[in-house]
Amino acid sequence: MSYAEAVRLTECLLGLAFLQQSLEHLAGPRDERLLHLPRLLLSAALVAGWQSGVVALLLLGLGLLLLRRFDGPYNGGADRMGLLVLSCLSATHFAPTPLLKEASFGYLAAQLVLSYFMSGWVKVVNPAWRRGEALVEVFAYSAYPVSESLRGWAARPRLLWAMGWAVMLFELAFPLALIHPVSLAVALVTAALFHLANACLFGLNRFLWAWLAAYPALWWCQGRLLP
Amino acid sequence: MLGRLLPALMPSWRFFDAIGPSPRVDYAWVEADATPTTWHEFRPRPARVGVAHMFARLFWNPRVNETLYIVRSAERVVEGDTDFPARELRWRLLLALGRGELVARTASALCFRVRAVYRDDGAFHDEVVYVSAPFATEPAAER
Repeated sequence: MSYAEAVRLTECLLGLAFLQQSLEHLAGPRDERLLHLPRLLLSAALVAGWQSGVVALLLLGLGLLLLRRFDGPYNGGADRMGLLVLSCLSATHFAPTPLLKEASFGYLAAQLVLSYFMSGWVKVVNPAWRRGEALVEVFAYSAYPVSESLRGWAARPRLLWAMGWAVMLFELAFPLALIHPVSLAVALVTAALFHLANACLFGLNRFLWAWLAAYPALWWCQGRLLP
Repeated sequence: MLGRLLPALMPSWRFFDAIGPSPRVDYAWVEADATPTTWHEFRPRPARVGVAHMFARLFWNPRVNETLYIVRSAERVVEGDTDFPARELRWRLLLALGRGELVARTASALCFRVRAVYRDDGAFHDEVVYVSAPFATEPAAER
């Protein structure tokens, strides 16, 4: 995938992710509608590829206003990833040299790799995760499971121990996938399925779309570094 | 405002590094200066969510996303930040009242509390960490 194709695909995926988010807020209170209606229109322009650089900058400005409105991100890590992708996209349009443009997009790829590796690292150094207790606690009493019936999973500690280690090993091994396009494709599909499971079990749908928007940067970066 | 952007530009990516106390928000109808007696859980989880519903939520999930925001606000209250997050919880309760989500009115004012649920030495604990003052429920001017 060429640099231009990867940037364009990122714009489309991020625009669709923002469209999905902003549509949800149009059913909300007036102050949220006032911020999300222009965001919706700008996201559609980003998907269409109309004045992408200016549109990305305007979306970044709206992102800052949303951070002020909610005194931080509304949806935690998903909003932060969206802003990261948006910032890197803006830099690809306005950086003064081709090398800096590529470096900006490469930074997004590096952060994507770190997002998985660091998530695995902070878990594996925690004894509660290594013993399988952390996932039991997530299902037993955390606010995340989308239904009471899912709390029953807390009574299956062996399954959750295996799931916890599968997640940690996958996240820690993610950087190794960069050695070949096939391994990277397998890793990205697996990661997308992981986000899909989180969306279904914990209601974290925005994470799925925000992380997908960053995948083209890594796909391009792998080919750029190991042609 | 740029300071708020920095955590997005240089994220720590510490997802679920430790499972801390989990907040619950309850509300009660109360007369001004009285002590609330009957608490109701705000946004209790449904007993079950079907696969088709889970799939649909990939594309349309405003209620759960708002609930996650309420949880984050309550977590901040548990951490001791009772300014903006407490105002936001009060605002979300008034919005829910306007949508008909709350139990029928039995008094003139509402109040809410935040509980922290956690496990320590193998035992579950459920501790009230914040109780708001009663507040009027006249339809608030939309922000």
